[in-house]
Amino acid sequence: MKFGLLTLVIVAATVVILSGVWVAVALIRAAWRVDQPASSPTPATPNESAE
Amino acid sequence: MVLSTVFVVGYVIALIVVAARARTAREYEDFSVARRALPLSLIFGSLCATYVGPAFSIGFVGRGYRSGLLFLLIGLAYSLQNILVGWLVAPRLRELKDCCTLGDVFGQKYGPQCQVLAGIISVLVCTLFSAVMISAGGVVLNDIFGLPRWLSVTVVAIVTTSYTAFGGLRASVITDAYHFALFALLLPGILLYELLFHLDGGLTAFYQHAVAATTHGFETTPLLEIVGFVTAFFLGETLIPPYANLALASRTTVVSRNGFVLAGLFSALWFTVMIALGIVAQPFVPAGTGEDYVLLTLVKATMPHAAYALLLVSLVSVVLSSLDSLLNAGAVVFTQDILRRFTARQDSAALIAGRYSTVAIAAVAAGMAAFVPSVIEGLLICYKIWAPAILPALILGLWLRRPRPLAGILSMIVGTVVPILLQLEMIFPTDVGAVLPALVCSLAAYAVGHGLQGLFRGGSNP
Repeated sequence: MKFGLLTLVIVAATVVILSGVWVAVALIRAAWRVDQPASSPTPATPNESAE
Repeated sequence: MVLSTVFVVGYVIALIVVAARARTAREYEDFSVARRALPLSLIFGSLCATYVGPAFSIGFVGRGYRSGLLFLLIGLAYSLQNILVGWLVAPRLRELKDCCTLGDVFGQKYGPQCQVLAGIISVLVCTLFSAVMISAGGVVLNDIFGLPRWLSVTVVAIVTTSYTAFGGLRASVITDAYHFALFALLLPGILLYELLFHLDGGLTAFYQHAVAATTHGFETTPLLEIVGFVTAFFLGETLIPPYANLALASRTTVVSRNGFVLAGLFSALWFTVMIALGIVAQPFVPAGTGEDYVLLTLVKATMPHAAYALLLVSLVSVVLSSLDSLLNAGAVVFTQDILRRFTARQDSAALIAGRYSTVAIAAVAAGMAAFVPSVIEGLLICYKIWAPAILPALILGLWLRRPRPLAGILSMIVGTVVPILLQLEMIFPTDVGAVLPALVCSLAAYAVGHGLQGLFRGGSNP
């Protein structure tokens, strides 16, 4: 029980940090794309899967 | 001290660069829904950055300190709500054509009167939320730099308004991603540091602190109050304008759905980290410390001064990322649902109106910031109004084949008035909070309106 609680906390903290890294990478890509309007994607139709 | 200054200056410079890269919105569709081209990672980051405000960071650490895991359990209601919205509602919103706001959805389902009413309620809620955020930002700046309260509030409002007014939703989402990355790295980092270097007594002590605080939390919180909290967390922030705008601005229905589901799962992990910080703080924070100061006191007591500057950066990020989304959503709603209804504005005029609206909402919210009693209490007042006023009509409108305008109008009016009267204790007293009784009244009003209009006119909105 003791070990489980601490493990849960450490796993949660790690996943939160990894989420931050994922969004940071997306931010860099998005900011880079701003200068390249020709290569930016056309908005897709609503039902189309994008990612 | 030098390192602290470097951190703060580095943060400000990076924010300016990111905001500048997001570029100025040149068309109204850019300003309001970022051309409906936002990918999953940015939708997820912006959703999380918006809901992780002062209440879900500073506030939750304080609650973890006082009542252990109790508020983690309560917070799970919020996680569940996000997952359900992602599964059931967000894709339906994204499927609708030509909608920039929830008001547009009401307009399509119930007619123009309902759109204006939804717009007025949405602007009110966005302004109240913004006031809470500006107030919290003012507390942080006041605490760190010792600035007078009015000056702290002004700085927070001006900085956020400057990039939101020009860049619109895209700037808000891009800067949200920057802020999210910062606080998602720094705050769990503080927790891991505390666990590694300051956990006196080790695993056993952490467990004992958690059990003691949780027991104290359950003993001192009446069951009905817990039910009230769970209801408020489950319903209070459901599809408030910034979230609805992100659902509408997603690249596809799939992105819209997955963004909300992932944000819901993330919230459970985030609450765990914040509550754990509160538990870790117990040996270091004096008993009389206010809940909003537990995190600041913990870091001051256990970490080097530079880390305190990093915490400041995290907290400013938390505030600005929520505030910019609220200001943009409020401005878009005011322009789209109220101004454009009466003046038939062209897109270029709507863009200018959107910018001025951003400034106006920020100014009003900054003026109201002095009256916000405390971060969580302020948010709970907003929760009480939003859920009963909007959700029954919105959800039923999306699911019913022929929703009737009278039902929507009655539900929204009753859902707004009843929680205000309950708050002022002008009608029957209640221990479960205002949300549940007001929600029941709102649903009853919807049923009455639906029945009446069917009886006398047989009409529905074409």
